Amino acid sequence: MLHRMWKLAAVSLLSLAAASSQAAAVIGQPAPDFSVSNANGNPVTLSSFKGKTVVLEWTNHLCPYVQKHYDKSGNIPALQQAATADGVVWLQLISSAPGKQGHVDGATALQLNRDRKAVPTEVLLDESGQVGKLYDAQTTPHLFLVNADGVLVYKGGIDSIKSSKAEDIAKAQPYLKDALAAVKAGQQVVNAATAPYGCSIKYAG
Amino acid sequence: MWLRLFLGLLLNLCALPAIAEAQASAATDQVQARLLVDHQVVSPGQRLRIAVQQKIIPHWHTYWQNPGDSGEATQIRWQLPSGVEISAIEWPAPQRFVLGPVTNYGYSDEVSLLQWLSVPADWPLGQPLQLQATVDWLVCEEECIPQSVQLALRLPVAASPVSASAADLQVLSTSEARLPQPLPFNGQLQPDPTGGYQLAVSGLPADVSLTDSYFFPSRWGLLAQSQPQRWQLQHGVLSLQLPAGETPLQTGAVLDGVLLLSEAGAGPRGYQLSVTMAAASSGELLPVAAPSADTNMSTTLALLLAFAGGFLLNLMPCVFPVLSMKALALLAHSQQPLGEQRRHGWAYTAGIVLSLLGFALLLLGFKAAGTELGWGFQFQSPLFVLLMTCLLFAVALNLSGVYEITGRLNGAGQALAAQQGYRGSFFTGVLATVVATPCTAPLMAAALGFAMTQPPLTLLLVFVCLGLGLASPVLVLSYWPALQRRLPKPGPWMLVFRQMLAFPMYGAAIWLGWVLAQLQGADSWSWLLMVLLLQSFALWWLGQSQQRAGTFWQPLTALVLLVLGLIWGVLQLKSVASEQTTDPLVSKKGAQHAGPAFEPYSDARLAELRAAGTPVFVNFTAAWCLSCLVNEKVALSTTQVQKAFSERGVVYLKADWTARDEHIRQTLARYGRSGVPLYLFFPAGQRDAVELPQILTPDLLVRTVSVVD
Repeated sequence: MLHRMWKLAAVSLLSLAAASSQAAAVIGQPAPDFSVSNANGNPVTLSSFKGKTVVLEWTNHLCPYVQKHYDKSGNIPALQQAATADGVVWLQLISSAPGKQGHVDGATALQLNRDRKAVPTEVLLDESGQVGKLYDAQTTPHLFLVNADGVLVYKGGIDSIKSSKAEDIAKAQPYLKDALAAVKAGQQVVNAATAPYGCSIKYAG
Repeated sequence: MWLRLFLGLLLNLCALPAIAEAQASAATDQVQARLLVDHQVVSPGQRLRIAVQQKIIPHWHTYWQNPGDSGEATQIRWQLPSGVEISAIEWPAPQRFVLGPVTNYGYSDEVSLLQWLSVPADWPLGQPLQLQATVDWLVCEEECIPQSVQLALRLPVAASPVSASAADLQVLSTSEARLPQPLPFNGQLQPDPTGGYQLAVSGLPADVSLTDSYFFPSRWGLLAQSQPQRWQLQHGVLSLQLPAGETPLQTGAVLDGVLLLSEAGAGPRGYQLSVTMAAASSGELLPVAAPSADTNMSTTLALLLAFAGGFLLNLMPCVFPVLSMKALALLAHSQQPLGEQRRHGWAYTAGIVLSLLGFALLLLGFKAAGTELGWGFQFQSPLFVLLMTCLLFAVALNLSGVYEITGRLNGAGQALAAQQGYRGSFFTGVLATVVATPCTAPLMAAALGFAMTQPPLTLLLVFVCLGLGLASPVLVLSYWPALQRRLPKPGPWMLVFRQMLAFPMYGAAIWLGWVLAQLQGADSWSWLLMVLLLQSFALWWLGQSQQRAGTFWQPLTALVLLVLGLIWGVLQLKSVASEQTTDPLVSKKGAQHAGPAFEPYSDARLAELRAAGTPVFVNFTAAWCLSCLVNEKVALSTTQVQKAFSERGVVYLKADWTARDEHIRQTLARYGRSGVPLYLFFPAGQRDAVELPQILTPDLLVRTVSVVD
């Protein structure tokens, strides 16, 4: 009997381990949950936003591709404005490790957003890279969209033209914008997985 | 003071345009870019090798066409004078850069992106060619900097071109060598149980020792670029485990990219790879290393089979007219001494064997030149089919008595028998062989398939045996007077019989005309009939001259007409063929004969159907293969068979080999065949294909599809 219980425990532990190691960001699957400090030092948990659409945006203010969509065009701030007005939660994540490009403290991060007229719901400081690696985030910008049920419905680039030139934005297919519109209309996201583009995320190590 | 300032400003202003004007090279802190051409003086109509060279400082890199998880491919935007054309960028094989969870594909140290530039043929001499390009790239160490430079080059244009400096040519040839080469091996791709793909590359030298192998996908999403690719090499078969990307490949989709193989003691080498994704269960269809059963056949068995197959060829519909001609000739010789008859028999045999050896040598020659051909390949050449049509038509006219075949131009009409010298027997043999080729007889296909995989000597022996088999009935008849005595005595009836034999020959000519129409489009009928009309007039004219002996100009004009007609036909052929290249669809409309509903064959479609558990019947056929057509008519098209197919849900795929098709040739080769017909039935859910005999009957087909349930 005891032997059997041990076995059961071992099996459930193993499957738990397997489940957690598989908890990657997969389209159509529940988005992996995480808890990380925001710019004010308060913990923010993804699952606390259940019932709302959530955007995860990886960023690095010194990356030319991020600058294309912030400083040079205001494209992402405009998207943030429209989305948050619709009740969407926009989480901006910074996974640059200390000492690497794009790493900032909370105050700087908030100041940067004020300067760039960016209005994310929260700025999350992921300097250990844990959340980034959980989502397999690779570039800045790299975007993920989680629906009200907590299911990942989009991952990839902000749009279709991989360049650092602001004038390409108008010509590109706005993947994230389209995905947000589809979720709002209760429809399936057409291009659910697209190529992210930009600078590599400056992870620790 | 003011003046000085003003002058300085003026100077600066003057200097500005000079600075703005682009040079052949430009540099940023990380990258030195330069425009290179293989000629420093060019001439109109020339095709130039042109490159943008990037010299990158240590630890930094620029990107390949697929930059990988991040990054951006280098872009070249040309501003060229009108009429000047430039090809797409040819990318040298890339390197991998791994930074934590991010994998990139690109270049460090130095790279040259190659293109071809064509100077218009009507470019005026002396007017220099002004080339300008905006080159955008992203250069990264860990941090990335997008950069853009303007490069320009002014090339003098003269009647005689002058090569670039040795140093520049060296750079270009080094870059050329870094371009991925076409893969000289076979690649196969199928899903593997872990959710990724299994790529098998077979045909590598058995003793090759690889230190690394990596597949670079040509675009994002196909592979998880940052996950490792496991590989192993066994018996010349390299298998790679490729992790699926965000947009995984579906069955029938194509994976393309560059396979980089690093051999021990040599640098890495890139190969262009493009493979179609097969269905999961099709492992047996793609035997990676296991040779098919037929190739294990012993040489003796192959020789015996070739002989038997050659014998059976005599019974094939396409050889019949020629065989009857020979039988007729033998009858005519029956009054001659036995020795002479035997010599005729041998002359006929020699005609067959030598022409078959000729074919074999041709096959070997093509094989050595790298072009693999299958049996019946000659019928894939429109020129050959045209000449054959004219030949058969001419023979038919001869049988009809329109003209006689003599050694001289102006010989009078003589008895048929008296004219048929040994040379006549020899050429009858040649004719029999040429006409027999599209009918791959039962048994012969296996033997020929075997022969193709064998050393040249065995291949030649197989063809000799095939020829002996084909010649054997006539040879036996010539050696066995007792048999001849059973045949009717020669007499005036022979003339009637000979005229009768003309009709199957006309029929054969019509059939070949139809094959030509399959190859060249329906329009070819009209000009082909014109060529034949001209030919019949010329031969009739020749016949007239033969009856009125003595004139010289008449047969000469007949011959000239004949030749002119043929040349005109060949010219027609060329014009149709050149139109064809502009429309690839035209060349693929092959044997779409009446019959049951079918789908065109492709490996992917077969794999897909098999994966879905659908039973599949595959018919490998060609318009020029008469036995294929007969089988389709008498067996496959019958309502009985069609009913059995639809009841069992059998999908009918047709692989049409009328025109050359490398894909079908390879598929045939997988089953140890070098020609059509080949009939395969894949029962639902079962692994192995059932191979059907080359003569089909409705019963056999119904039984085949019914038994395996």
